Amino acid sequence: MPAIMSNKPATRLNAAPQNRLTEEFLASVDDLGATVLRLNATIELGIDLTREREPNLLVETFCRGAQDIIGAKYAACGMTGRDGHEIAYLHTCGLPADTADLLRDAASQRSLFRWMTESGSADRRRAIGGDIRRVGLPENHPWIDSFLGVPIHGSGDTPGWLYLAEKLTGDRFTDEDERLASTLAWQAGVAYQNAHLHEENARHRITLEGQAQTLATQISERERAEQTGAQLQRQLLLAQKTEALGTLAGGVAHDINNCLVPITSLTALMLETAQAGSRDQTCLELIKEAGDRIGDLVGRILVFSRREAAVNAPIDLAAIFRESVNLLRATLPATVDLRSQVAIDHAIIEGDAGQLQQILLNLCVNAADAIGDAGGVIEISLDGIDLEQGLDAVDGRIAPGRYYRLRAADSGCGMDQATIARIFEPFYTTKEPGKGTGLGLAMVHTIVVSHSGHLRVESRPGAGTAFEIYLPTGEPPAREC
Amino acid sequence: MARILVIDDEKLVRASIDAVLSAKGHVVTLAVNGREGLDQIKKGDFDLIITDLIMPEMEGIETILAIRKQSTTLRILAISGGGRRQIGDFLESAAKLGADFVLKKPFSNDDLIDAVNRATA
Repeated sequence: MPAIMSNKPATRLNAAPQNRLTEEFLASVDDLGATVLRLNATIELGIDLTREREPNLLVETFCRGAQDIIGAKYAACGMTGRDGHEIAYLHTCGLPADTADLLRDAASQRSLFRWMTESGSADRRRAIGGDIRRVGLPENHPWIDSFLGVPIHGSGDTPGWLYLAEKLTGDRFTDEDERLASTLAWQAGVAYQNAHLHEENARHRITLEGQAQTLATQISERERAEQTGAQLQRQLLLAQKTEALGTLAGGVAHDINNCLVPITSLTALMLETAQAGSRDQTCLELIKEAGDRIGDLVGRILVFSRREAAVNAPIDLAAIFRESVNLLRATLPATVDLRSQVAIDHAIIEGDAGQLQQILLNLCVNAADAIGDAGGVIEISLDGIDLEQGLDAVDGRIAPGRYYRLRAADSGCGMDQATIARIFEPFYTTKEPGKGTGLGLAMVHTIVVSHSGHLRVESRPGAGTAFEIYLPTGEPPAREC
Repeated sequence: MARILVIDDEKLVRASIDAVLSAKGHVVTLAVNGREGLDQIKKGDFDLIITDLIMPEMEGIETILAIRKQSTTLRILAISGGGRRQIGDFLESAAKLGADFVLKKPFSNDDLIDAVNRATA
């Protein structure tokens, strides 16, 4: 906004009045020029006030603008807060700092300012002659002779005031000055109200954004809870099936084992005296093999239903791994390319060596079945891993910590999600009748859980399957300094 | 050669153990439950008692406790095929309460003979 330096254009100085008409005409031109300048400045100030959103900057802009347009040595503008008395925003032009400080207190108490905001009327004075106290200004206010104060109207209230003191071009403030100041004050009032509305909107927006964020968090927490609930339900179902089978197994194992005694003992006894190559020997060997297989099956059921006590002792997983690899190389079909990798020399944990070997054997036998006659690759590995963050597993979430990781991956047919969801259920099998008991992975799961471990499985139809077993080392996680 | 009393409610087990141990020259006496077994002990002189643990009338642990009241030196081999709890629980209890040796069913002939040999050594 251009500063209004003078309302007497240069033409007025150079023009020599030749007669009264000419003088009046030129005076009118002068007035018109001054009015145009004021009008332009007023419009520009109006635009500035409309754009300003910060109440304190708005008060400053208005105070400076009004001072320039009307032409006063001193100006001050105060806007009350929500209580209508205390000055929330104050800006002064031309006044010393100590006067401005006193003005803030005075404006809240002195009757002049209170009168303007309460009555909504303007106050115009002249010939003050420095009698500051008469006006109601602070005692350290600079000397003035003329004064114009106007209220700033808002919507239904009067939130502030503007005063101009010591008119620059004359000894008094005119009617026109008062009208102009009132108009500007009205604009400032609307802008101030808009700024407040904007501020309130912004506050509401922040509140709403916060509420939206809270709602989003609640929704995501609920979704997570639902996922956890579904997982817990699956775990419960699996646990119930295992428990039911365990109860059944415990009940029948006693009878089955009793029945197995003659089958295995007496056939073995008779085989001692059977003639080599005789039909009796062949039959007895078949009976014994059948008995052994039943014994093996009962043993498996007892293991995975946790009826068979585990032998817990310090064992070396790495040694068990190497031993199992030798066993697997001897037993897996030649079409399977078994690749193994042990990244650690020793992996000592408390556990049951037989059961842990069973894990690797079961996973590899399953992998070989998934690969089929066409052949393929089984990769098994053992390493140590520091989990800095939790990891989802079949039976819940793996807590951060230090683990031994046993991995078995195959290039076989893979599984869909529906199959993966059921593979750890006892007696669930995708193999042909007679080719699988449906206990292999149920056993693996039970053994892993009984060793405080966790199982992860990744598989896609046609893309193979990878099982990962995490067994806690019992050591605190390693931290890099 | 040893004199052995086999206490088991299951005929299949009694007969099988009888057959295997008799074939090795041992003298085997059979009892169908703990009560009958204790009667046999009063009447005869045995080197070893082989007893099942889960039996009607008088079960194995009770039988072992009763035998121990009569003799602290008589050798006892407890056998079990499990029950509603873990197999190990029963055999472990039996060992703590007086059985000298334990054997889990099903067992091979070699396991049985080995256990008998150690118990009668």
